[in-house]
Amino acid sequence: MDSKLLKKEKLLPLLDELRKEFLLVAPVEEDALLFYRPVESVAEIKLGSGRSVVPPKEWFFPQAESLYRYSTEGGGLVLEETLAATPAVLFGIHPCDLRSFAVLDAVFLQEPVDRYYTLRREKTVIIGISCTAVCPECFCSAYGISPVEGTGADVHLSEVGAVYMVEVLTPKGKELVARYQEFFEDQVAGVAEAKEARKETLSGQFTVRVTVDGLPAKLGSLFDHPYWEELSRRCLGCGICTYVCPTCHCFDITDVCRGFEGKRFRCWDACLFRDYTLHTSGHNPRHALYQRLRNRFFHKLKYNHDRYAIEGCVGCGRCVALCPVNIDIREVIATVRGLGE
Amino acid sequence: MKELTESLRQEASRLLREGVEVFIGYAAGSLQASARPFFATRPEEAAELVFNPFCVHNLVKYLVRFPDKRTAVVVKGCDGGAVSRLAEERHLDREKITVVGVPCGGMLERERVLAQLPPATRIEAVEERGNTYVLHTARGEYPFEKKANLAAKCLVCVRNNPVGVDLLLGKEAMPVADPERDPLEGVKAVEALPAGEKAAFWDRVFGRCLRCYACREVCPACSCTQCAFEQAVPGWQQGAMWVEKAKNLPDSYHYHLIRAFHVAGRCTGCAECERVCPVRIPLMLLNQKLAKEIEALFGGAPAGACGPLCAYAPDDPDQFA
Ligand code: SF4
Ligand code: SF4
Ligand code: SF4
Ligand code: SF4
Repeated sequence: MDSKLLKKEKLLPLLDELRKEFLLVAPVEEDALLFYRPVESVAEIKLGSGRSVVPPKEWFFPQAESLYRYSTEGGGLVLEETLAATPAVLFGIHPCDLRSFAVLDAVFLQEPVDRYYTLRREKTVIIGISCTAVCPECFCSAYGISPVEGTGADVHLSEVGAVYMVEVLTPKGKELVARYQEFFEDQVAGVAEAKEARKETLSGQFTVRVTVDGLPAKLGSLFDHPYWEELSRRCLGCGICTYVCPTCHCFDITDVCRGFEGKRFRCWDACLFRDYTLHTSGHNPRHALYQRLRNRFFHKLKYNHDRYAIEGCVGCGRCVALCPVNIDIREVIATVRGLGE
Repeated sequence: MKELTESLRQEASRLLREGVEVFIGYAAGSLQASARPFFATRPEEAAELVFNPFCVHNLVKYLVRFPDKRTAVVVKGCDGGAVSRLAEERHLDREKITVVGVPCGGMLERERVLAQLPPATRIEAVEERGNTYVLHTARGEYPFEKKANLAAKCLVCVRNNPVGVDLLLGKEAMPVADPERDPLEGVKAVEALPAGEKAAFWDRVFGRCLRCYACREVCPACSCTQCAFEQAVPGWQQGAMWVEKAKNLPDSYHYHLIRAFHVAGRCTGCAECERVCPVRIPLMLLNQKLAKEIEALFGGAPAGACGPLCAYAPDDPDQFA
């Protein structure tokens, strides 16, 4: 791994250069909320800590995405695929969200690969950024994620005093740094140590310690436990926890058709919605809310691990912060670990 | 607030012993400065109930989930109206429900509290001292003056003492409304915008709607058993739907306008839709605007518990449609 330095005042000029060559997607603020959006000017970028409401998975797996158009004009059938991706730089991704890309990759890059996701993924260079503070809902450390680790990024920045320590982590990252080398300087002594010290400080800031060992097996024995029904009593069955989750990846495919023209698109779905597993017959194997809520936790904490050998939660804390009725996955984990069978 | 919590626990325990099957109230939440809906089914569980200025949730909608059970529900002044409305619309059997009213001195805006409390400080007790809530913590007392820290709806509230309840706990609450503040301030500000800016404002806020439907799920006026936005039809028949399943701006406008019109005249102003919204869409602006128009159009008309929009008279001079 290669390591460089970037002076703080050079970050925006660098991003401005990148913006000329790539579509630059970066954190922007709207009414005090953070979103990752394409920016036209680097002045729009919100630097610093803070968690976006909608996770950056949106960039690779948009909430609504057109798959193809069709036309049946004149009795024939014309299909036109709408597969397109511009070379992009996704800037300012925090370690938990970096891990979430690995979770999504396991799903979308397995054979047969999802071409829409793959194309975006291939054409995007990811610039990660270390956290400088831990939010009260964060618990990424439960999954072995460190708030200063760049795994999953092509290039990773960690703020250390007046500079960013730059870690060049992949061939894509190497190419990017080489191309814009005039912005970077050589690593100096003490910076790597300062980053390690930051790691220590941050790990002391987690408000709740969460342990997940043995959880998939434990959950396996609790499918019929009354706990799920109790927990679901206050759940609203809304789409918040799934839509803000960086690893949720369920989608639905539908058409919009006007006359002889139409398009087929896919859009995010949520396992908490009443019609999520509704069959054409009218039967729904998860007709009760508790079954749907249980599915969410089983998927996050067991199925994903069993199927892809990677945990389905990254501990970003978004669902914890945004659930309107305080269903807190950290508490669910602790409760489940203590339940008898 | 200790006495109120105490009498709440006592009454809940008594009701659960006397045949109430589910008592819906609040318990402490897992996050700092939070509470959560709580369902007690056994008298012992009443010990978990609390009431404090973090009990923002309107619990009334949960009643719809227990049509066959004897229930009791805790309501604040702004929540209570939803019970009679839902009963009037025959979504609830009022006979089966014990409505427990709690006088309310206002709810603290959680974000403001968090901004002022040191991180990870556990709140041990909440004391209401006139126009101030004092949060007692291991690191000392933190006073929160109501005028500066209450939720927006509370600063204009005149319903601090619930009416139409079966049981009223605690002492009468002092009104918290700030007489200087116009309840329709926000609505008027948007009304005053030039058309272009008004459109830009709604484009911006609706543009970030996730269509997670939390605002619908929480709303006691959104009581349809089959929602217009949730008709499960196969993909190729989606054209028959009111809105596309995909998130896009025109359909989000469509969703919001239909939602606002469906709850018009039935919204009781609890502001839960706005509270739950993960992207802070100011839904109350729409609800208040419609309430204002209804007041202007039918303000003087006699109306039942159901409000002027569902009052019916055979000699009504206007056609129904
Ligand atoms: S757990 Fe919370 S966010 Fe998720 S569906 Fe239930 S109420 Fe909504
Ligand atoms: S389940 Fe919750 S904490 Fe875990 S990754 Fe998803 S949103 Fe983040
Ligand atoms: S609006 Fe009134 S009754 Fe409702 S929470 Fe605020 S002060 Fe209490
Ligand atoms: S809660 Fe907010 S984001 Fe969700 S559907 Fe309602 S307005 Fe949209």
